[in-house]
Amino acid sequence: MTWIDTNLSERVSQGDVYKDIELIESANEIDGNIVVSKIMFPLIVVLTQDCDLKFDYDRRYETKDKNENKLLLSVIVAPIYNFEHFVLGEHLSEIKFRMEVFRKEATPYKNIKNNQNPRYHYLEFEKGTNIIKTGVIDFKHYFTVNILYLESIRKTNFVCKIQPLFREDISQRFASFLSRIGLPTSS
Amino acid sequence: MRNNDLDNSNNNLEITSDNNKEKKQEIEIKKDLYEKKEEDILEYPISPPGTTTSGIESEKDIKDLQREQGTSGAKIIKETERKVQIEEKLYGISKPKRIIIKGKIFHDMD
Repeated sequence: MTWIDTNLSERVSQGDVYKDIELIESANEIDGNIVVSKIMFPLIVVLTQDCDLKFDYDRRYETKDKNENKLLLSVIVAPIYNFEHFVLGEHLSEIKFRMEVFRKEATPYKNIKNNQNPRYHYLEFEKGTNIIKTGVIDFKHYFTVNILYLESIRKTNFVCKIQPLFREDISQRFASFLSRIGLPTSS
Repeated sequence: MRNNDLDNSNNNLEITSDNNKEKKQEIEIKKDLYEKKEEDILEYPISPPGTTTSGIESEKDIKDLQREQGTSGAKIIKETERKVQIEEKLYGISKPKRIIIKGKIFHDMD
C-alpha cells in the first residue's frame, strides 16, 4: 500500500501526483498554418529531486537573490497508468501503441506487482482515495514539463502527494533504471 | 575396479544432469508456447456466438482454444474488461490521448 497525502502544499514537490498533464510532441508552422500535437496524460508523478524544486521555488518566489543559478527549466515526470489497462497492454491504445500483455499469475506479472521489474513501479493506493486503486509508473516513458506550466495548474490538477518514504523508493528505482548499462549480447 | 566404478557412476551423474537440462529446456519452450498462445487470444476481441472476427472465427474456436489451454482465457479477458469498465466508471481514469490542434497565424497588414 502506498501512503499518500491529499493536502495541497505551497509548491510543486517530488512525489506529487497531477492529473491531465500535457506532453507537447511537436509544434510546426508551415506557410502560416500551425499544427500542434500533444499527448494528454491522465496521471503523472513528479520525479525531479525535491531539493532542486525547493531551491527553484525559493529563488523564484521568496528571495531577492539575483543569482538565477538554481532556477529550473523543466521538471521530470513519469506517467502513471491504470494497472488494469496496463496488464491488457491497452494503456496506450489511444495513441496507437500496442504494448506487452501480462498474463495474470505468470512470473512477469508477479515481478511487476512485487516491483522486481526495473522499468515499472507498481502502486496500490489507499482506499477512499479519489484516484485509481492500482497504477503503474513506466520509467521508460518519463518526460519533462515546464516548471511554470506545472506551477500554473498546480492547484487545479493536484491529486495527491506520495509520502516521503514511498517517494524515495520511487526516486531510487528511477535513478537505478536510468543509469542502467546495456551490455552487448554474445551472438 | 573401484575407480572404474566411480568413473562410471560419475558419468551416469553427468548424463542425468544433462537429461535434466534438456527437460528444463523443454519445459521452458513449452512455457513460452503457452504464453504465446495466451497473448494470441488476448489480441482478439471475443465475438458473440455465430459471429466472426479477424482472429477467432467462432465460439467453437474459442472453446477449442480454451480446451487446449485447460483454462478459460476468454473468461479471464471478460472479467478484466469488466473490472476496467467499473474502474473507469468509478474514478474516471482514462488512457493517454493524442490531441492535434490546427490553426492559422494571422499577420497584421499595416
